[in-house]
Amino acid sequence: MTEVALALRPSLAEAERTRWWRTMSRSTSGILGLCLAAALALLVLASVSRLLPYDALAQHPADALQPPSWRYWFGTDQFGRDVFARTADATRLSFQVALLAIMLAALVGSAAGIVAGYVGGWVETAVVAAADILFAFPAILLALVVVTALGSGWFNTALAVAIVYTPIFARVARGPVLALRNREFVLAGRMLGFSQARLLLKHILPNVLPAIVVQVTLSLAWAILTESSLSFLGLGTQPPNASLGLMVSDATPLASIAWWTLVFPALLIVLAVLAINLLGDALRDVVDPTSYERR
Amino acid sequence: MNGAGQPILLEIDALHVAAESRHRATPIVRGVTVSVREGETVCIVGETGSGKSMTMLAVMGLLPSPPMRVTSGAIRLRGRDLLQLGERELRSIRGREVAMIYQDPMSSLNPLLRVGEQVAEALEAHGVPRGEAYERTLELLGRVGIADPPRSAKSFPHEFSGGMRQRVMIGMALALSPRLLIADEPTTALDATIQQQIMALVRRMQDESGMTVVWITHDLGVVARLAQRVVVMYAGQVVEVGSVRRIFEAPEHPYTKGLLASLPRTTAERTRAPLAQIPGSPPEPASISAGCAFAPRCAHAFARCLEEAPPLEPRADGAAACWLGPGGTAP
Amino acid sequence: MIVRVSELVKLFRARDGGHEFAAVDNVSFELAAGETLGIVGESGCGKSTLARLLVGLLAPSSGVIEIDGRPLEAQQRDRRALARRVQMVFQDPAAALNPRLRVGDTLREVLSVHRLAAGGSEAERRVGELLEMVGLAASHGSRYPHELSGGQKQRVGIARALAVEPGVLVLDEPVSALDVSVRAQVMNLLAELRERLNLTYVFISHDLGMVRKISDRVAVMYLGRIVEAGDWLDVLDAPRHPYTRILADAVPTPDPAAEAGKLLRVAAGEVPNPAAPPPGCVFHPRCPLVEPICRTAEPRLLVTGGRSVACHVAQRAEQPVDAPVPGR
Repeated sequence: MTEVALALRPSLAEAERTRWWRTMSRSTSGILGLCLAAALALLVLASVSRLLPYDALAQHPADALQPPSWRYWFGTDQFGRDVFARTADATRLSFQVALLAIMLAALVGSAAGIVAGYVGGWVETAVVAAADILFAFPAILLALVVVTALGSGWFNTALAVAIVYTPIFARVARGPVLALRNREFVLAGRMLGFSQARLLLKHILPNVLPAIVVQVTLSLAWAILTESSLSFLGLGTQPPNASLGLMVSDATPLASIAWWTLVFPALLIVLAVLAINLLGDALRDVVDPTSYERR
Repeated sequence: MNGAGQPILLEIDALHVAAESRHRATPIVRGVTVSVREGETVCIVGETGSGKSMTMLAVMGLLPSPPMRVTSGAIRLRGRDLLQLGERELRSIRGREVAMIYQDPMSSLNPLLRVGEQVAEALEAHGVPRGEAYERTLELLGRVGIADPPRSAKSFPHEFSGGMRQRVMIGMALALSPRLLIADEPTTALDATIQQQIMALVRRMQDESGMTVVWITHDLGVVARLAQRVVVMYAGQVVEVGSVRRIFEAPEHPYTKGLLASLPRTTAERTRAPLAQIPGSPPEPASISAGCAFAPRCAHAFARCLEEAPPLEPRADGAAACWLGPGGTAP
Repeated sequence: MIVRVSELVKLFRARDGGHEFAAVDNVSFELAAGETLGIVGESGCGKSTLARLLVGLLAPSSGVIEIDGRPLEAQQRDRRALARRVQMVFQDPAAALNPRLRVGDTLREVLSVHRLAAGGSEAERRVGELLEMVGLAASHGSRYPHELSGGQKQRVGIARALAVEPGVLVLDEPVSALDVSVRAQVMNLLAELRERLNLTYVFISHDLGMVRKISDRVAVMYLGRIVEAGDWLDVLDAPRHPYTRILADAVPTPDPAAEAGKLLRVAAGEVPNPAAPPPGCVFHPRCPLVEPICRTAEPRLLVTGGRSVACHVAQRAEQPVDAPVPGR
């Protein structure tokens, strides 16, 4: 170990005392991300538990296009719907789609990548080729193609986004596996007669997990943006359901007379992406117990 | 033999280097004082955490900073304190007066540039005009034993073996005939026969130019073969200094003694008797105890050793830092 | 004989060219229980490949490896049986342990896969025993590898290898990555375990001093072949093969008096590329004793009085005894 790395490693006692919470709380970006994420979670929770005064779909035509007030915090849209409630619901839907999509992509992509990296041979070639083909398409274009084929709606949007982001997980998972499969502790496992399944699940996967988690946080932000773009183009979530992209799309012709219908959904998109990125940065420091030299 | 009675070329005076992170400063080099005379071959021996590399990087002004920082002390090259010099002056000294070669030649050679270009670049950076630089490059490659210099100069580093890359590094280092060559474990990663070639090459270059060599290693065999004087470092400090014969035949410091005793004998004795082992491991820089850093592992430690760190005092033909008297007698 | 290797060959495909070359070429030797064979050589000599062949991590291209009278099988169902006959200790103690598992869990897993401990408490006990056997405290079991020193990590590696109670240990440079002041501890541990458990060692190292200390016999490898083998004292102090002489000379010893004057005695040449070995005797381009026959005919490893040498010149100097069993 180089003298630099040795010097910066905390002593044995310190290592034991550093719990994950302290690691997170040491970075200002982590705290900010946590706060932001908490606020967003509250918003979504409020929407889901129907604690908000107004329903996201309920129309109050008499109060259409009113600016933000004590009654309607974010104002109302052209149908008299409470923009705050709609925004909360839309945030929920955006996260729902993004989380579903990325979980699917992570599961399928990582599994493919790990197996490809470990087994090698034609399996690896096939997986890498498939990933490369999918990579060749610009993300939005690919999502558009899939959604056009499958039909619109939030679930199909999630599938489309999942398909777009599966190859990156395959690639990200494969990398560490290539390095790990010849590492001595894996060789030792083989030598000790461990089954392939045990080696993959108990030894290789946990050491690949940090890379996958990092990719999840990166992709989640992009997933939200992709979903928003699709909905903006009318191919994602369909009315009367609300998604942030759809709200922005609907609000565009009204922007000059009712700025609140555009600004708030757009702001939520920005905050969601920001929260994910900040949290992701902090999470990276936590996830790997052996990477002390990064401090 | 060169060295004795010659003027002092390099003087490291009470050098302290620390690794500074957001919360604390960890001392890495803790008061190192070493002087090297012109023409000498000095070996610095130490293990992990001894601070040997950081000390020499400080001499070159190449400490990885942040996080490393010189916190006090002086480094005098022929009287000039290098720590007081600005970057521009240091740059003119590097290569011209002091040069350094490292353990992994692959990381000091740019994999994308041809070998000849890199050596010539070292010359050009110090004002040698291009045409002359190329001529001297070919000559240098020949001097360091690389076959077919014109063709080799056009090759890339990955086309060379480890030993040949190390020769190129030596060529680059010696391009401007520096007075001092610092070699940081340059042969540790090489095979024995290649190591032998590199050591002989450096000695040959030294004989031709009267250059001074400071060779860092953890291998006591290399020390025995190469050194005139030996500096033993442990946990960021110098614990013993002396001539190579004296260090091996009559070591003063318990660490040096223990280290030498733990090596397998090279005699023909047929015995399965265990090696004399030193308990424990070298301490991590962040957890060095008060008093003598070696005390936790020392068979002769007594109360004072745990409270107060012994200073480096003159002993025999060099110095040792130990509360035990000369020859290991109790104080 | 607990270990019998006969005409072992391992072929690899060259990285760029695509033609095949032998990383291990016709290696044969035998070991009795409790013996230690030291294997020395420089890079490209095939000692690491040989190590992996011996533990079944690589399958031979041809030739036989027998441990405990049975040939190695690389199939999955017999992997476990093989694991209990021969194990390996690796050079890099940090890479040899799963960084995410506590040391105790690493050992427990081995016991559980091999059903060597009936229940939780017996496993606990056995793990404690293993740790103490290698000079660690039972409390070390709850630590992660990065919390241990290099020497301690290597002890865990040894404990893991011994958990399955093998008869043979292949040690691939077991102390090279450790601090110098720690090496003696681990070497002493290895010697003690050998006595206690009557283990057979194949000790691979470039450190001739350590090889001297622990080996009964020594084999010198060059470009995949054994060029000299025999009693450790004979081979290292009175070598007959020119390469062994050069190697023994090149390795510096911690004795300034003996080393004086050795600095400028240099062997020429580079270690050749295993993918493109020279014709005839593979050492001939660097050999100070080279003769015409060396350039064309590869010398056989010939046994004379317990020693074997593969060198035309050396063999001519001996009275060759035609013994059919190579290596012993």
